[in-house]
Amino acid sequence: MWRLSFFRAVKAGINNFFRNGWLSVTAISVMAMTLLIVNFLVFSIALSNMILEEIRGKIGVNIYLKQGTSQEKIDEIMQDLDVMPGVIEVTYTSSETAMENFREKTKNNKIIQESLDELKDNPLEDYLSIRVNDPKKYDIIESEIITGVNKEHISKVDYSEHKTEIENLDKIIGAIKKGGAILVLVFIIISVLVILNSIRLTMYTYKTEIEIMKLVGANYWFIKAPFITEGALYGFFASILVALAWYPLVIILTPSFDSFGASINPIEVLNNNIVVALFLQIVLGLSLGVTSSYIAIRRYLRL
Amino acid sequence: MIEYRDVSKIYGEDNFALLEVNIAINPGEFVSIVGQSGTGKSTLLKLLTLEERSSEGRVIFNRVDLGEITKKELPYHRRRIGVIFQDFRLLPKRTAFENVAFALEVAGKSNREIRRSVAQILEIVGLSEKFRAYPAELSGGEQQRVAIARALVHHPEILIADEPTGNLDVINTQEIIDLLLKINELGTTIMLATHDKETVNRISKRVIVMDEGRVIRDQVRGRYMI
Repeated sequence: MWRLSFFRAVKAGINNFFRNGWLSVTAISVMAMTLLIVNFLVFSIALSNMILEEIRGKIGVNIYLKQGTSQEKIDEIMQDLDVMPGVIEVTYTSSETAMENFREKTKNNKIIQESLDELKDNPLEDYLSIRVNDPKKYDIIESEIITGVNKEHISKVDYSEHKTEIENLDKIIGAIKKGGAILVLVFIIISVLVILNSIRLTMYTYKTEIEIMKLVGANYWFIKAPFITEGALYGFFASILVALAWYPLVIILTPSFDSFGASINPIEVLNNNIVVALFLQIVLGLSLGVTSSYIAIRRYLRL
Repeated sequence: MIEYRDVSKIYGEDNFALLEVNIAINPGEFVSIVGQSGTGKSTLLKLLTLEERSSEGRVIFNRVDLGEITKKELPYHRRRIGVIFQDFRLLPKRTAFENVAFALEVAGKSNREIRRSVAQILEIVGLSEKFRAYPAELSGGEQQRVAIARALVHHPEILIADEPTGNLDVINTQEIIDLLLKINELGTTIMLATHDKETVNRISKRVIVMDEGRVIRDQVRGRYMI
């Protein structure tokens, strides 16, 4: 019996949806706008996180050791660094190797080469290069090393110039998340209100029907179900619409993405996650629609 | 079967629709409730369908105190009562058949059951030939017959008629009243609220006269007199 009632109620909801053509179009547009903004936000956060990961992998910090530090001491410091959380890799470069590298790098510059030849001693220091998985870890490394027992052997700590870049990127992502969350919230509220009103208008259109339903003793959920169906349909069509628009949009925006210098391709990212993305989008659309119609029922449907 | 015990419906000081009403109605009775507009006839009926609840006193229906019926039980209560109105309250976009079927659809009956019951009830109200017509294609009397069919399709124990002939001409009124009498003969209790003197006098059954929220006369074979 309930299956029959369910189909009848859903059918009534579908009828409502198509009979109130313009109302449905408005509700779907606003909902689609909301979903589009959610998409933009989620996608850009995901992409910038990926870029951040990639840049983080490329950079490191150099710790210069005072001249005359013994090999045992150097090994000890390396071990200390190795066990620190967040450290991916520690490499040792001797002053000789450093000099060779420098000469190699500047071999086309005659003046530098000549002045290097003038030097009696190698002025360069041994150094350790560290790579970590999070720029915030650098601060811990710095404080551990400066306050630690190794302090006397260290002449200076040189952060890669990328540190500020990374921190900036981190800040930007944080701002996107915060601003985006507010924007999403605002749009969710707007779309809920619009859908709520659309359903309220439908209720008004179907006033006589509702009255008669009550009169002849319809189950309450039988009266409610068409409106919930209507809300769900708004959500469903909006999410499908956005999904269709999203793919070409990503293709259009991809070229402007190259300037970040990262090897990440947005289209590939989308392709790899398309099923999950589509699923989440539909779920979000449906729950928005159903929630709105439920609020409308609670507020306006006097049973 | 139905009992109003000291029932009052009070909205505020000096503002009431019913005052200390006491009525008992037996199964199978045909009761006309008469009185001018605004004397509480409709309120009396609404207390039965629970569109309104009494402020004081109790309304008993089939030994059940209606004050105890919860919101959840309300749809099932309403299926035991058929109601018709002056304005018919039919769905304009549905045919006569669909209008009657609607009452069974919302109660979750199967399509087969619906076809059988609706055909049967349309036969009783004399509309078997016009089951495909839309309300706009039917006369006022015929529309009211559809409404009666819809009210009866659940096989209610009582049919409540709130000014059912208010929109009808003399001939149609006659037909509707005859139909109500026939339904009553078949065993359904009927409560008819009206201010149409001719109608009441022709029925010649129990008459309850109301004035300003009070019952002022209750006669077994009454006439409309104030």
